[in-house]
Amino acid sequence: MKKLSLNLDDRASCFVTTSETEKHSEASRPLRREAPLVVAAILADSARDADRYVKSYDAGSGAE
Amino acid sequence: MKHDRPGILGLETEHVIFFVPEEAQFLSEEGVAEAHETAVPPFEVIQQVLFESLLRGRKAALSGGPKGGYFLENGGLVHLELYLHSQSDVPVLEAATPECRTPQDLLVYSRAFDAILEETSVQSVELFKKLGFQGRLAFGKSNADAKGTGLGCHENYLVHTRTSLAGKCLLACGIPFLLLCVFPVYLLFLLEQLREFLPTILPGPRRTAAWLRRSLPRALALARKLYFALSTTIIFPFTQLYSFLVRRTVLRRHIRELTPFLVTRQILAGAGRLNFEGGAYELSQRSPLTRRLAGIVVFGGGKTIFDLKGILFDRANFLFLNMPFWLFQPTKRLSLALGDSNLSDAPNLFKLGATSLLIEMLEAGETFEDLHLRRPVRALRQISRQGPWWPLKLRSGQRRTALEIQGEYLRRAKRFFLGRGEGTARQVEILQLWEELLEKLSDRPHALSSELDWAAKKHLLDQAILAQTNWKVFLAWGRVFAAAGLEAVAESSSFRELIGKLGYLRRLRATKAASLAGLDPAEFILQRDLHFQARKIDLKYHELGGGTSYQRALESHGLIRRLADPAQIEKAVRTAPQDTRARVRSYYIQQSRRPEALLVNWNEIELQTPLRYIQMQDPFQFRLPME
Repeated sequence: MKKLSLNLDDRASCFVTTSETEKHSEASRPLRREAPLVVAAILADSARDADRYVKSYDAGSGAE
Repeated sequence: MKHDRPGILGLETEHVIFFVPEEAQFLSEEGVAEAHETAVPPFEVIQQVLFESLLRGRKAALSGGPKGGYFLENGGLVHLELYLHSQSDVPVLEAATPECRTPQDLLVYSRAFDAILEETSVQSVELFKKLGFQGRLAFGKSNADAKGTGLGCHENYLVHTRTSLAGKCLLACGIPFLLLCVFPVYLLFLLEQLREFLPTILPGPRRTAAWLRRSLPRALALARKLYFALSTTIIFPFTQLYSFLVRRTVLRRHIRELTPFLVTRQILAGAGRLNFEGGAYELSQRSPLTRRLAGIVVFGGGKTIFDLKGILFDRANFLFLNMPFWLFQPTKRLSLALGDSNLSDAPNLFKLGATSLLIEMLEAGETFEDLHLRRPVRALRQISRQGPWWPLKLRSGQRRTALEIQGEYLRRAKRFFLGRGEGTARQVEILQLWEELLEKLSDRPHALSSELDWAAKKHLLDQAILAQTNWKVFLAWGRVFAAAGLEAVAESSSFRELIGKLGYLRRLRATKAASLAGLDPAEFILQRDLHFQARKIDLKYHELGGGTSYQRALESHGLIRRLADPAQIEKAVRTAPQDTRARVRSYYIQQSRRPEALLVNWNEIELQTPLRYIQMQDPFQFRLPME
């Protein structure tokens, strides 16, 4: 059984995988080619103004 | 074909509400600089904009429940968590789906509420603008905020219970004490509501009213402190004792047989979380916060797997005068507090569906004794931290991994539902999904990033972190930053400057963490920026509003699988399930001209003109009175 490391260095495969191992439908394949671009856009956004975003994400004492 | 078992399910999800200044959408450097100047609106403005945006173009009715809020035209409820809450706090929004009959329907209504909040976010821009603020509301559908404060996602299932006569007698003896324990909470809440109105309705000169207005908040604060002191010394131990009684009498079988499944299901249903204090990326957000197996969680304290509050107060009217009558009913509301708030469909459907199937199995007499865990709460936290392959101790003395335990539950569920070639399409769909996810976790774990929340988020974090450093160093720096405090870290440009800003204890903790891990101070800037970036990924993955959620970005590009039909979700935003009492609630809400014309509760509707009450004690009763 293969193990997935959670906290070790793990260069996990990206969303684009081979058709033998992934049973993707024909329709979804073109979309999956965009994966690196989508992830790159997310990473670029996440690097911007991150400290202020984190500070605003505060539930106060209203939570539970 | 078998018929679906009559079930009722619902989800209650808490959301962080926060204001995002106008910059946030993929912005220029200049835009960011300007956004720093944007003022954050106070609580009152956020609250006003929230409800105006939420109700714009939507039918709704006032909720008669103690927490207020509005029932929407789809039969669900939204309200603020203002329970013993200070007015200076940022509000938390709870969204409760209408009663559904199947996990598939519940998935659709869960997504419908996500869509409602996304619409609310869009609507809020214009309203904020009118009030002089540039930005929008956003909702965090995660189970922890930036400070680690817990937010719940409670699953509710209708269950059938059998209680012995001796058990019933024991429970009955405790009822008067239980009422005494809980009543002051509601009294405080009532006083809080009356704070603004009391001075104006009391007779007497204006000076008295002004004095009352000044004194009431102080009196309430004192009463709260007194109640909290009493609750820890007298009330808390009693509620624990009563919890124990309920656990051993009413819910014994459900808790015993479901626990190993619930503890291990996070390997598929977890939403993932960076835990810097613990130095790990955890599978689940709720597991690290969970301290007890079962209990009555009135407020605060450690979280539980089973929240027995639902058993005690379900179907009770205000002040619980009918409690003795319904406590011994054969059906109860089983409330699970351990679940994460999933954004992705596959873990959400698996979580709701597999739990429903197992409830059906155990109520049909199935047992899972050989899977009982020795220390379930400890196991819950171990799995979250160590992953699906961590060996867990069973009561039998054997060791099994979470993956093996899930596999065993699945095998028996398949035998139970499919053994005779039967099973409804809905049951088959859930069993297939369960099998598929377990198979991927076992053989192709990397394929899970297009299915599960924890895996998708881990993938994003991998891309961010591994491009600059490794997980070990990143988490070690995270521990230093957590010890120092985020404010100080954000304002420092070197490790030396950071240490200089800290008080004695924080400095000690931060320097110790740094020296133990052998960190290089020259990496401070890189690690500080990466730390905030990773935290932002961890939080923004769960954001609803404005189309900027990372989960939604992945999903909309086909990188995370969708199961719920978008057309059904759109319909569920405005219509209730047609096979539960939510249909009746929705009908009257649709007919009303304004929210104040109706006072609605889960089991009752109060029509104002002419005054009339419609009772809906039976959740399966979907027919209108005139039908």
